[in-house]
Parts: sequence; C-alpha cells; structure tokens
Amino acid sequence: MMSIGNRTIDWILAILLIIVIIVSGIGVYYSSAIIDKLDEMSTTQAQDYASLLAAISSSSATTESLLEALLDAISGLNISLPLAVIASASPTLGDIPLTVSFKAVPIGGTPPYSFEWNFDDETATSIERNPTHNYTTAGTYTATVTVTDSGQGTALDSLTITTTSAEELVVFSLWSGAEEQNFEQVLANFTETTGISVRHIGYTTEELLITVPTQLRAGVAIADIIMAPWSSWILNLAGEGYLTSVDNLIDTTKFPQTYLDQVTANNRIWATPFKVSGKPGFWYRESFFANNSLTVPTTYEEFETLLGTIQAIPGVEAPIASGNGVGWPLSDTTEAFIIGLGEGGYQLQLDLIFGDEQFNSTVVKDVFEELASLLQAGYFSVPDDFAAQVARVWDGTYGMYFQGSFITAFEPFASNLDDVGFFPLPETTGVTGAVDYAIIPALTDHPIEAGELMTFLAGAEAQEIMVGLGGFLASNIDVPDSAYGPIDLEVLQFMRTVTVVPDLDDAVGGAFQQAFWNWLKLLWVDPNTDLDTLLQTLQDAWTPPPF
Amino acid sequence: MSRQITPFLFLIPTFLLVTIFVLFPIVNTIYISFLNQEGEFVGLGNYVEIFSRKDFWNPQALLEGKLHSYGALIHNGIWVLIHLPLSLFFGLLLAVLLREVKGGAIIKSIIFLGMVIPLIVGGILLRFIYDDHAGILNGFLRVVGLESLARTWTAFPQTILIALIFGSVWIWVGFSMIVYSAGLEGIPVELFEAAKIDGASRWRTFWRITVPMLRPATIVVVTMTILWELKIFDIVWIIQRGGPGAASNVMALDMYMDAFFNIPPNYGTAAAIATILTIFTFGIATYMVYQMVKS
Repeated sequence: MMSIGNRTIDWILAILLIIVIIVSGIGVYYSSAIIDKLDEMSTTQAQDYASLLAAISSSSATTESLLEALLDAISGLNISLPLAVIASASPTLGDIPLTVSFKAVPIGGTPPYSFEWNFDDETATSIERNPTHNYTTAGTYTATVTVTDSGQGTALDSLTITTTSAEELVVFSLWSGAEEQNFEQVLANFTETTGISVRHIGYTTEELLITVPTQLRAGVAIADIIMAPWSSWILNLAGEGYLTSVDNLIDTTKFPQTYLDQVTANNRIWATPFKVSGKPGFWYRESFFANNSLTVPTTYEEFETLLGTIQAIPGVEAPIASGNGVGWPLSDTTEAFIIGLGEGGYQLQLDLIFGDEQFNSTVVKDVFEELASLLQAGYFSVPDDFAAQVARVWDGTYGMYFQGSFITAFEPFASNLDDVGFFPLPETTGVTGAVDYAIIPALTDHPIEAGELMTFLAGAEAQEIMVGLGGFLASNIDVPDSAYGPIDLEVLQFMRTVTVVPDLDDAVGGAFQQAFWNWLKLLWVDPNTDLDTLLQTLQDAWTPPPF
Repeated sequence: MSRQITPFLFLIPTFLLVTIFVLFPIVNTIYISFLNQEGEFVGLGNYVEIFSRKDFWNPQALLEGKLHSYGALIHNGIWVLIHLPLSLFFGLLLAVLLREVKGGAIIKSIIFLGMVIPLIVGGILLRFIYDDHAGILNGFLRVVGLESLARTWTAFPQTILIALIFGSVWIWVGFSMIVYSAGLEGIPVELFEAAKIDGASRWRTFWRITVPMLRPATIVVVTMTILWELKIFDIVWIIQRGGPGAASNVMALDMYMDAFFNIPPNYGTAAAIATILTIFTFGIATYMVYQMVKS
C-alpha cells in the first residue's frame, strides 16, 4: 500500500507536468503566431514590418530563441527586408555594480554587419555584436545599438537599463501630513533620477532633538540626512565633530547669506538651507472677514479694534487661535510682538539672541506687558492642537491664527487658498524666517550618496517641486517667482519688504528653548503670571548661540 | 567545606550580571553626581544646585498658598499622596466587585489594558480625554450640567498635576486590581464560612478577614505603586513636558532635561537627581521587602 508521502509526491509531479505542458503550449503558440504574421507580410510587407518589429520588441514573450525562430521564418519566406536591428539585454534592472549582457539581432539589409553600442554612461562604446557592460553608477540609461550593413545602410534600436543603489538612504525630518507627503515626492524624484532609494522617517521635535545626538554620541548614525530647523543644535553637533561640512556640496552663491551665517562655524558651512518658513502674521479666512465687514488693520490701534470687534461676533470663542504642540506656536506669536512692538523693532530680536539685550530689561517687559494685556482681555484662545485650530479658524470659532507660511499646506486652508489671506502685525519692521536645514552626519555609511542627495536638495529643481506643492518657500534664489502659488508668493513678497531675522528659540536652543516654550504656555493660560519671574527665568536659561 | 561553598558558586553568574548591569551603573551614577560639566570633582555642589532650582524644590509656593509649581520633588510627593490611596482603593474595589460577576474576567482584562498599552500612548489618550473640544471628560461634564468645569485640564497649571495623577490612576489601577484578585483567590474559603456561621456581617467579614489576609498583596501593590510614582515620566512628558511653566515637573523629567537638553549636557546634576531617586526607591523597596518577609 502506498504511503501518504508517496501519494503527495505523485500529485506534485503531476501538477508540474501539467505546468510544463501549458508553458510549452504557450511557447508554440507565440512561435506560430510570429510565423503566421510573417505569412501575412508576403502580401502587406511594408505596413506590417514596422508593427511586427515593435510587437516583438515589446513582447514579454520575446526571447533569443524566438528571435532565432523569426530569422529562420524570414529566410524560409525569401522576403527582402530593409535593415533593422533588435536589441536585448539581461538584466535590465539591478543594483550597482550591474553587469549587463547586450545582444543585437540584425534583420534584413545586406550582410556583413558592423555594430556600435553606446551605453549612455559616458564610457567607451563597443563594436562587439553582443558585448557585456558594467554599470557602476545608479541611474537610468538608454543603451543604443547601431548596425551598419555592407551597403552602408544603418539602423538602430535602444533599450532602457535602470541601475539602483543597493544602499538605501534614510532621511529624518519633523514633517508630517501634507508636508511629509510633499517632501516624499521630492525624494521620489531624486530616486527616479539617480536610482538611489530613500526612506523618509518623520520624527517629533523631542525625538529628533534628543534621539539624534544620543545616537551620534553612541557612535551610530541611523539617518544619512537629517532635516532640522535649529541652527544652534546643528552647530553644537558640528562642534562635537558629528557633522560633515557641506561647502563642497552646494553653491553658496544661491542662498541669502543670513541663512548660511546661522550654520557657519570655523569658516565652514555645516548645513544646507532647504525650506524657509516665514512667520508673516495672522492668517484668516477672507470670506469670514467679508461677511462680518472686517478690514485688515494697518496700524496697531486698528489691530486692537479689530480684536474687540471679532470678539463680539456671535459664535466666536476668541479672536486669535492659539496652537499647542510643544510650545512653538506660542513662541512664534511672541516673537512677532517682540519684533513688531519692541523698541528697535527686529533689532531687539537679534539683540536677545546674541545677548546684547536682557530678557528682564524694561524694553522686553513692555512687550510682554502688552501681550499679557491682550491675553487678559481674552483675545487669544487656550492653546490647543495646532492642526485642529486650523479647522476652527475655518469654521469661525476663531477669527485668525498667527502661523508660519506652512499653514497653507494644512487643510482646510490647502484646498481653499482662494479664500485665505494674511496680514502682518501692523507697522512691523521684521519677520521671523525659520529655515529648515539639511545636515549629513559624519558617521553616515553612505557619504557619497548622501552628498548627492544633499546637492539635489540644495538645488533649484528640488525646491521648485516643493514650492509647486504649496506651503514652502525656497531658500535657493534661483527658484523663480512664477513657481509659487499666489498666496505663497504674497508671503515671499512681503518678506522682501521687511528684515528677516532668525527664530529666537531655534537660534538659542537648548534649555532656553524648553523654558521659553513652557513659560509661554503658562502665560497664555494665566496672563496674570508674574512677568518678572517669567523674564528672569528666561534670562537664566539663556546661553550664547553657537554662531 | 565544598558543600558550604558550592551554593555560592551557583550564584556567581547571577551576581556577575547584577554587578555589571545594576550595581556598576548605580555606583557610577553616584560618582558622576559629584562631578561638574567639565568632569571636575565638586562634592555636593550638584545637589546644592538642584535644590536651589525652583522647578525642582519650591516649598515656598506651597507655603504661600499657591495652587501650583511646587517643584519636581514635591510634585512627586503629591503624586504618592494622591495616587497611592486611589490605586489601592479602586484596585481592591474592582477586585472584590468583579470576583463573582459573570464576565468578570473579561471586564478585568479590559481594565488591565491600561497596563498593556505603552505609556506614551496612554499619555496621548489622556490629552484627548482632557481636551476641551474633543474630550470625553468635558463632554460628560457638559451633559450633567457642570459646564463651568469644562476646560482643557492639561493646559492650566492649577489642574494639570491632578489631571495627570487621575490619568495615572486610570492606567495603573489594572495592576492593583490584578494583584488583589490573585490575593483574594488565596484566602481560604473556610475563613469566610466560619465567619458566616458566627453571624459576622459582610462588612465585618471584609474588615476582619479579607483586608488582613490581603496584607502581602497590599505590600506588593504599595511598593510597586510608589516606585511607579517616583519614576513617572512618560505621560508627563507627552502631555506638557512639565509645563505649563513648571506646574507638572517631576524628578525624572528634570533629570532627562539636564542630561539631554542642556547644551552641553549636565550629567552631574542629572546624576544627582538620579541618586536622590535611587535613595528614595531603595529605601522604600527595602522597607517593603522587610515587611513582606516579616509577614
């Protein structure tokens, strides 16, 4: 009696036999299909020839054996055909270094034939009929073979070879949602061009701030490129020897000097400016303003009047939405008041960054007292989820929202840009321009590929893609104004009329940033907070920025 | 002689592991707590510094009658004072109530989910629960006519600490419930039968039999809960990072900030805080183990 195991083997063999029969039948079918096609050519030769060649070239069933069958069929039919060539290669896709075997099958014309292969990678051509070529750089190549017959007739055929890098770059950033999607489109463009795979990982602020330095100090670089907005953090990493300078990777003439200065130390540039986020002012829904007969203020007095008017509108909880998160939306708002109301305007922000002015000075306290009075009047909402507040501005719960230009990438603003506007704090002389930089850890396992990606991100091409997707201001000056959508262009044009200064807490960084965020959160919900204690705490936490 | 030595030889591998991964880090941390940022010996300088920081030690605010921001050390103490009795009470209550309820095992499993989910996830859930617009708590308050209490509880310094503590009870009560459930199963049934025969009321039975017999379980719950309260970090960090101001600051978070946010990192003060935490936890754990052995 046969055992169960033997019966199983019998079944497997039977199934394999059936598969072989089916595959053979398919092969016979295609062979006979080509021969049938050639029979038709005896009566409609010129018209079908080109389509036959195209069909063979694109047919996934085309193999060398089928091509040989074709030649036999042609010779058997005694057809005089014009010269043509069919190129094939194996493999056509793979990781570098990729060795590809090319084959050329000439058809028609008058033998003997000569061949010339161009591999599209700036290496020497080959005159062999069936050469082998080694691709060493990732990319997409069009290999072309030109055949010449004895009558000096020529024909050519091309095929595409795609080489990829076995390595995969890892990029960290703080972006999520629409910003992340847009950035990944740029990375996909890079992969398509170079064949180098890139994986993007979005991190939270604290993860990036804490995890990356910890990894680097442990001698590990998981990311090959990191996008970060904190110039002080970047320069501190550079000071500890954890970064690669980018002087040789970017064209420094393409960026405003103020962006480069923030990441320059010891005469070397340690990061590439990528995205600029202007913090231009208060964003609002234009139809909300129109429906409530509100006008954009041009003076600070008009601004205060506007706040009172909005507060009186039924259904409005507060004139100005306040974002939460770790505290940065509140610091952005505060800095707008420092720049807009402070004695010296934008210079006060710079003085605070570099320690030329104290936080517990009278000029700073005046600004905070004004801000506290607005908070006490209930003009600002309780801080809540940053993205959720966007929707609440849209539905009229709040009248406006102080935010960076990236807000145009968030729904429902993103889908309704025609109904979105902004205005700066009236009479302001400056604006905070936060820059998202790209850095390369010195410990990266892929310095060459990371350098390529860095150069790409610094370039106008990559940044123009991001500009086109919205909510992004380019740092590269070669990106034309025509690439911007109307609202982003409006932000850009506004920023050209004022002085752009660094973000205060990003520039100083460290414990100061945390203290700044935490104490502003307290001020927002408790406007009666003792300002002397608050400002002294900030002063105690301040340390000189590293640039 | 060899028979006396042999048991200790079997302890060597464990002793080595404990030495390398427990004792050495503790001793090294204590050593670092006496060094400044430049690595120089400063004696108790780091301890003096942290006690001079108001976000770590601010009893004056308490004495002045302020409602928040007493410093991390005192916040951890408040955590113990409120969180511990609530965890004990609700844990025991749920264990007793669900003991003879149909489907009690399923309900216990659901309650225990709080212990299973990562604390960061628990913290995010709490943020939503306490949110003014989206939170279930405020929705409930509005339904029962207590709209005046509705707010984002984690945004205000007066309410964030208590909100975190209650949220922590919600997460931790599953542990105390499970321990007490196991303890209840270990009480001999004859004791209850004897009490019933003697005419003892349910309340008297509970106080005179159940509670004393649960003493070992109580010791375990108290020990583990206090250790949890002293080391609390995740939900504090994810909700407000110790803010607003320093209203929800705790020792573990202070230690974290010193070690990873200061530029350059201040490992000395971070180690000093870690040492203080170690002294507290070691002292409590030792006492509790002694109580367990004694009982």
